[in-house]
This record gives sequence, structure tokens and C-alpha cells, in this order.
Amino acid sequence: MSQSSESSFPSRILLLVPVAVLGVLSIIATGGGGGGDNGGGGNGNGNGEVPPTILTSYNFEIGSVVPQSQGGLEVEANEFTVTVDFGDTILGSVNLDVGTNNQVTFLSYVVYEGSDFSITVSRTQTVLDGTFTVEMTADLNADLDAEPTSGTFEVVAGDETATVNVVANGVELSLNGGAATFYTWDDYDNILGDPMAEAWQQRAALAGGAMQFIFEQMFAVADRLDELEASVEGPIATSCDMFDGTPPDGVLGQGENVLTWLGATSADSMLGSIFDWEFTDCWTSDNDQLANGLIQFQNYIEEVNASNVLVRIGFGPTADMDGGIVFVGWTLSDTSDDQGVYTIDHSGDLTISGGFSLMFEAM
Amino acid sequence: MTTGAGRYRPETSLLWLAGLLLLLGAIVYAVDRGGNVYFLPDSLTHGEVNPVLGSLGEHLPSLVHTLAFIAITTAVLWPWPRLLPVTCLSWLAIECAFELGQIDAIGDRIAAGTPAWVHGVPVLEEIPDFFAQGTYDPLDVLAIGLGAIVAYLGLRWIQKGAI
Repeated sequence: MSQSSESSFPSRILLLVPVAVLGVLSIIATGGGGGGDNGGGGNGNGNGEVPPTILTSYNFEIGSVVPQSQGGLEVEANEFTVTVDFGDTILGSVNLDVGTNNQVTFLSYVVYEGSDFSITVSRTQTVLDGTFTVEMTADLNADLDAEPTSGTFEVVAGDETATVNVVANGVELSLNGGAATFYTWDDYDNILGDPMAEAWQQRAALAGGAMQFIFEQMFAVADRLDELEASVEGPIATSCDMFDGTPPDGVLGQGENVLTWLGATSADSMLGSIFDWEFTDCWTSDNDQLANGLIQFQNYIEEVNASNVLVRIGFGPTADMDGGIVFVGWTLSDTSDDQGVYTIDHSGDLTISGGFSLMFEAM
Repeated sequence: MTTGAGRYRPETSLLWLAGLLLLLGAIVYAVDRGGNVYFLPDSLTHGEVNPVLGSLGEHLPSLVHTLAFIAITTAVLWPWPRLLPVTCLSWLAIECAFELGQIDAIGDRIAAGTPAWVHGVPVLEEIPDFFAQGTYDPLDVLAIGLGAIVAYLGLRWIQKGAI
């Protein structure tokens, strides 16, 4: 080692500190350097407010709109009424991807073991009338817009316990621990309309259908969460699918849904906000369903921690206010297509009322 | 007798090399990856990701960043060439630690547990976003490892040749 090198030893070693700091800071400043998806919303170098960090997974809780109440969702059709009662007990988690401008895409979800709810069926004039409970006995795992890949739940009515076990490409149904029968997803869906199916099988199918409906509505609402702030500036209209033929009588060729902010209970934040989500002839080509009516989001709750991380978001009751996702005569109609002419058989209409609270919380 | 400038010539060359590598990384972010990163001004954010370099552009910044900071550290420690392996291993560990911190389960915990005082502090305020919204990619770990190996071999050759 040269003499000059020895004399420069302390200063050179001290230089390592800023080099290390610079190295680490330059990694952080890449906002997720490497790996393709780079995490949006990280451009905090502007003068504007830094948007909160959205985590990649959150727990969720679905409960009743009114605290300590068994109120729930009611689906009314021509020949039956189905009421789902939540007891603040559907718990699970969601995985999501956060893109540019904090735009969230939900990827998958889990419904935790122990979650339960009850279903009351009325007006069928069959043995199906009555109340039964649904309880997850093993975590239900599913990707968004796909059938579940695993999970088990029990449907209990009196002394009958039906077990629904999700397996590859379908479910296995069994009664009171007896032999299990495999059903493809289509066969499982069709049990409800099968006059030969036994009551326990119909309850098992109805429980699955109810869960599917609840989670469809949950994600439909969750998909709008990242638009709430923008809706304060003015209503946000979204075009629905356009009929690729002649629309049903009196129905628009292309309807829309409009998200409107009605106001907040807090003067300086969005907390307690109420939003109207109004559907007008909103047709979805994927399932040939036409939606009309109103869904109201009541009592917005958002919590961002001191590190600017979003730790809680949703709609639910607080001590002084009811809250949740409330359906106000929201109607779904099935459309059918005959050589490009669409019609609606209104005898199959479903009218949804009531609602549920929905809260996402950091894990 | 060596002049002052001549005495630091290898170190200066390494710093220039590191600067060019970091510039290359910045260009990849700006052009290939939409410019949507903290260190680039908002005006360079174009949102459209049309990779010129293809999948290479996703991992090149990890490689060049590792390479660049090993080069800078080696320049600082130029009088002690035997420290090169330690330098490479140290940066390999640091870069890998930050990459592994982007695994969802770990990143969410780090983001949620980031102390409040970082909010509003330039660069540090990006910590929650970096860990929660960054994507862990094993190929980035590979790129970091490759960067460390290339740096070791290249710098060892430079040390022996003492350019």
C-alpha cells in the first residue's frame, strides 16, 4: 500500500457512507425497480398530494348494513323470495394488483373458514321454504371471474347437513357424511331448476348461487372504489354493452350506469360520503342481463395511516350512522336473442333490495 | 512521480463508467417502462409501455444498478483491491434484500410498518410504494447476481491491468 493511500484511508472509508446511502435511495426511487409492473402512483416528486399506497392484499368483511342487525340482501322473483342474512361474519381476503394512477385490479379472493350466513326461502310452496345456514368449513379459494379452485362449506337445515366440497372442475355433494356425488359446475348450477333434485341438493345449489351473487356484487362495488374521489368533481357515467341487434322494446340500444357523489358528513374529507350508482338499461353481454335501478353506497369509511398507506376502506355502519351497499329496487332481467332481435321475459326478473356492509382492512 | 490527476485515473474512469450505467438504467425506465418512477419528473411519464428492449428492459436496470454501485464502491476502495469480493457480495446482498422485500407478504408488512416520519420526506416517502406496489421477480434476482459476477470479473481485470 502506498503512503498516499494510507493517508487517504479515513476519508475514503467515510466516502462509503454516502455511496451506500445513495445506492439504497436510488433503489427506493425506482418505485419497485425491476419486475415489469412498477407500481403506479409513486411520482411523489410533483407538487401535488402523494396518493396513498395501496397494499397488494387486504382482508374483507361483509356484514349487515345496520350494526348488530341480522338484516341482509333480499332477492325477489315471481315465484320465490330469497333473503340472505349476514351477521358480520363473512370474512376473507383479496389479492390485487395496483397499476398506474393507483388503478386497482382484483385478482383473487379467499373466503375464510368459519364464515357463515343464513338463507331464508319463501313463497316457493315447496319443502325448500324455510331457513338454513351456510358455514365455510375450509377456506374457499377463487380467482376473480372464475370458479373456485378449493374449499368446503356445509348447508345445515334442521337435522340435514349437506356438504359441498369444491374439487377440480366442479363440486362433490354429500348428505350427513354419506357418499359424495360429483357435479360439474354446470350440473351444480342446474340443480335448482331440476324438479327431480332433492331439497338438500337444492339448498346446496342455492347456497353456492347466493355466494356467487354476493361476491359478484362485492367486486362490482369494489371496482368502483378507485373512482369515488373523482366522482366528487362530477358524476361519472360509464357506458354499458351495446346490443348487437335490435334491443328489447322500450330499452336503450346502449345504456349506462352513473356514479354520483351526494355529499359527505365531514366538511373537510370524504368520510361519511353517500354515492348513488344508477343503472339505466345497463346490459351486460357476458351474461345477457339487463340492470335497472339504484345501488347506493352509504357512509364511506377510509383510513390512511401516518405512513400514507391505505389501511381501511369501504362502506359500513358506524356508531351514529347506518352504512353499506344498499340496493334500492335494483332489477336484473334476462334477455334472449332470436336472430338479432332481443326480448325480455319479465317473469324471470329479479328485484334486489336490502344490502350489506363491505369493508377492506390491511392484514 | 505521478500527478494528482494521474493518481486517481482508474477511480475516475470507474466513476464515469458507473455514471454511464446509471444513465442507461434511467433511459430504460424513461423509454421502455413508461417513465412512471419516482426519480423521473412527471413530465417524462407517458404511461404507454412499448418496450424497445423487450423483456430485457424489465431486468436491465437491476443489473446495471448493481454493476454501477460496485464500480463506485471499488473506485472509493481502489487502494485496497482485495476488498473487491466483499464489495460485490455486499451489493449483491443489499440489492437482493430490496428485491425480496417486494414479495407481497413481506412488502405489505414493510409498507404498513413504515414509520410515519418518512411521509413527506423526499425519496423516503416512496418506501411504502416501493415495497407494497413493486413486483418481486426472480429474474431480477438473477440479473442482480449476474451484475455482481460481471462486476467482479470486469473490475478484477481492470485492477490487474490498472488502466
